[in-house]
Amino acid sequence: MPDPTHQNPGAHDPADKAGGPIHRLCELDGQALDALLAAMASETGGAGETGKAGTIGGIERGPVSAGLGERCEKVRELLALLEQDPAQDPAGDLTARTLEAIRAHEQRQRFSQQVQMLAEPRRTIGVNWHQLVTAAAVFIIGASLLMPVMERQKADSYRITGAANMGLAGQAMASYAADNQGQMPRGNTRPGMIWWNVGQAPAASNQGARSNSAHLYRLVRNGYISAAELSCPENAYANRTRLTHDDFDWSGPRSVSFSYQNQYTARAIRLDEAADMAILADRNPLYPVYQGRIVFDETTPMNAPSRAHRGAGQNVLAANGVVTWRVRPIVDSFGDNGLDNIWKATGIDFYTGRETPADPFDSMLVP
Amino acid sequence: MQDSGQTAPLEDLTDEQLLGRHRSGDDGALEVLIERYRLELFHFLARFVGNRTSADDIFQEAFIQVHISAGTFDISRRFKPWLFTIAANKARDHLRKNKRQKAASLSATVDQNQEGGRAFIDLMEADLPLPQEIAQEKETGQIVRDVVSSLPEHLREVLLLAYFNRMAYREIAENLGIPLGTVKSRLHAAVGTFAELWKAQAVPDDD
Repeated sequence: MPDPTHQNPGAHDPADKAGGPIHRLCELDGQALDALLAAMASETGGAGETGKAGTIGGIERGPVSAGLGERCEKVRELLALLEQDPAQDPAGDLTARTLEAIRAHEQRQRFSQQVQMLAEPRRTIGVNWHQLVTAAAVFIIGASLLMPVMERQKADSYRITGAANMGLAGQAMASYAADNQGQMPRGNTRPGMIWWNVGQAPAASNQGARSNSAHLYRLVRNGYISAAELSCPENAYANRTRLTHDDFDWSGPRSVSFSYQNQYTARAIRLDEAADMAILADRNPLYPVYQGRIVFDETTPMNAPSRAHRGAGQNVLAANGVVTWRVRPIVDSFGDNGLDNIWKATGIDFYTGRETPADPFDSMLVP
Repeated sequence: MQDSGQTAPLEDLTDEQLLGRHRSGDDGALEVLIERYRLELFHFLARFVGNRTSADDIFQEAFIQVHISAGTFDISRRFKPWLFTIAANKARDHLRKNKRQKAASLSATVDQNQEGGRAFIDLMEADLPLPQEIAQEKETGQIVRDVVSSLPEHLREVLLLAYFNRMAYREIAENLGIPLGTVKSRLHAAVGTFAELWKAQAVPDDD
């Protein structure tokens, strides 16, 4: 029985039908070619790549039988022509792109498997693809209708909780005033000191607080109200517990929820001196936090609402303990001055952190 | 017992061990394999399909196929022939989809006055021109590229594997799944046809 792995080189190859005219080497040239290629393959152990000029020089010796030397030289010359067309190297990132293509293929496979799984009725616990899509569509439409309502309810809830907390702050103020000759919370201070460095300790124990919020924090420090109560539920950064045993201020500018009447005036006022005066409100929008520090934002309109309740308005606490919701930061001024903007000192439109109210009863609520 | 290569650095592992590691979920193993064959396989594909962009695509497709079929590969066998079989199949599919008119026209320039389109050539009498003897109207490298491209696929494939990839006849037979004698026969035909096409291209008739 003939060996099926061997075929006469001169025999017809069915694949020849595919191309144009085929020219075969004569028997002696064929022998020379076989000898040359066998020598080349044995040089590299049957593996590896050539393509470099001169790599087959000298291989006509070895297995080549006597009398074929000249033919081998002809074959060698002919094959050397192949090296006239140098190999084109691949792009440097071919490996990376191939790995990326494999990953993309895997993702497509996973995705199509998931789609197939969803489309297969038996695998969707008795629910077919169309039913699933319909259910999803109903859910999405329902959710899109419900979302605004739910958001509004949530905002209302935060506003009411904030107002309740501010009411507790009013009670705490009243208690504090009762224990401190009627005064609002106020530590060591004087006009001209910087008042927006929240969380920074005084330079020395006998030096004044470096932020207005530190005066308000005396309510927490002295146990008149908890840190959680003296915060707005909309403020994700608020410290809800006391920071340390002997803390003096909130830990940083973002932690402060409310703006408090600027205490860097020459004279401390009594709480019962100005019953209608605004003394506490949601955070003043003129002083955003930038790179961890409070700055004055001159691009924000002076009558802009607090950002605490998504720009809808702010809760405002008056000295008499009444909390009101106001869309604009304007209140009836104490006395006969007309309307007062609670965010700014009367007559001052640019702030460096050292400005003070125009008079003791000018509302200027700052962090 | 075969070393599973569990502790050795990936670069030191054999192709088959790397594929085994890839099957076990080692993310870096396939990358080492791809990098190892980046030049050799790409060069083969670029010459086979005659187009760098297509070679790039086919290279990626070949390794995607390796990844897909890695689970079915018998790691007691050699990886390289398997890889080249996959790549050659992909390249042939590509060529079939992009039938090259150029090949047919170039083949038509050689004498077709032989029985069944097959003839024997004796290199000692063929009077083949050397590169330095041909007219410089066309770059020699370009002529060689055109001639190789115009070879029938089944001949071009064995010629490239034997010459540039230095594969032994038995290895080519294993790669392509054809009898050893067919490899030999195709190589003789590839070189003979290459010689005729080279002569026709390098020394065009004045007629």
